[in-house]
Amino acid sequence: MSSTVQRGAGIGAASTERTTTQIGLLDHAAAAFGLSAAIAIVFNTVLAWIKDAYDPLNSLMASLTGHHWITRGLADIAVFVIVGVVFMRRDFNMDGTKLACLVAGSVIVSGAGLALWFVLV
Amino acid sequence: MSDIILFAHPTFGVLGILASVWILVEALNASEANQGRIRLAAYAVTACIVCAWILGGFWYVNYYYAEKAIILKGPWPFAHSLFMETKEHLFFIPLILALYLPIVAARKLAANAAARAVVMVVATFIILNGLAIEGAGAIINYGAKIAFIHTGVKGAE
Repeated sequence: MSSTVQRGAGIGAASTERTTTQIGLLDHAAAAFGLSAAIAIVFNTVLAWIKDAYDPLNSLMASLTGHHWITRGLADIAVFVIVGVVFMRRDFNMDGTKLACLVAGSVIVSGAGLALWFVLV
Repeated sequence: MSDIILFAHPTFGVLGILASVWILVEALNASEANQGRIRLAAYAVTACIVCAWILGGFWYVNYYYAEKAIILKGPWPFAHSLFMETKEHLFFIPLILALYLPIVAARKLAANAAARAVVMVVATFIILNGLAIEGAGAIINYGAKIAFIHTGVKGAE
């Protein structure tokens, strides 16, 4: 039997009680790929920094597909898919609020990190 | 052909932003009745942003190098060195979010507050990133335009 808790204020109006799974947790693909999205977004920024600071990596990426930008796009998507599949196979669960904050944080930090990098460098 | 690609790229970007606004509104009013529209909007976001990525990427890889050289010689070199450099990397953030959106939007948002919160956060950041990228695109375009004017290319004004 699943436990029940009171729903948070301002989150829906259809009913007042839900199971803990329905309220707080995201599971399987939604959680796994949510976390992998946050990781891929941070990876994208870190790769931009390293690629920009280290020319041999830029050249290597360009040689793989003909253009460094194509390689990095494919690398970002590969990280998103592979990490997501790995977490999904481990039956990964995560609190929805934490995941939302993690995604938001990764976007803000990564976006600001990219802009600052090109302002300062 | 390159002009069609160049105009189609931001058009799909704007459509992706509009579809993100659509899913945000649907998620705010999530119910059993609009779950189908939520999923449709999520797929629309993904399709539009992926199209914007492929078209923009094709133009960037094949045609941008000529404009880049002109922008860098013009009065607004930062249109490339700051705005294009940031834009070409920043674009992958909404792309990844757009790929994730249909996965989380597949949940019944009316009954799953966690999924609903994540959908709203993801849609909001696609909108904000998309607007920033569209703005950067306008600055790059203007940087090229004033570079052409600066160099006296006929018709650039």
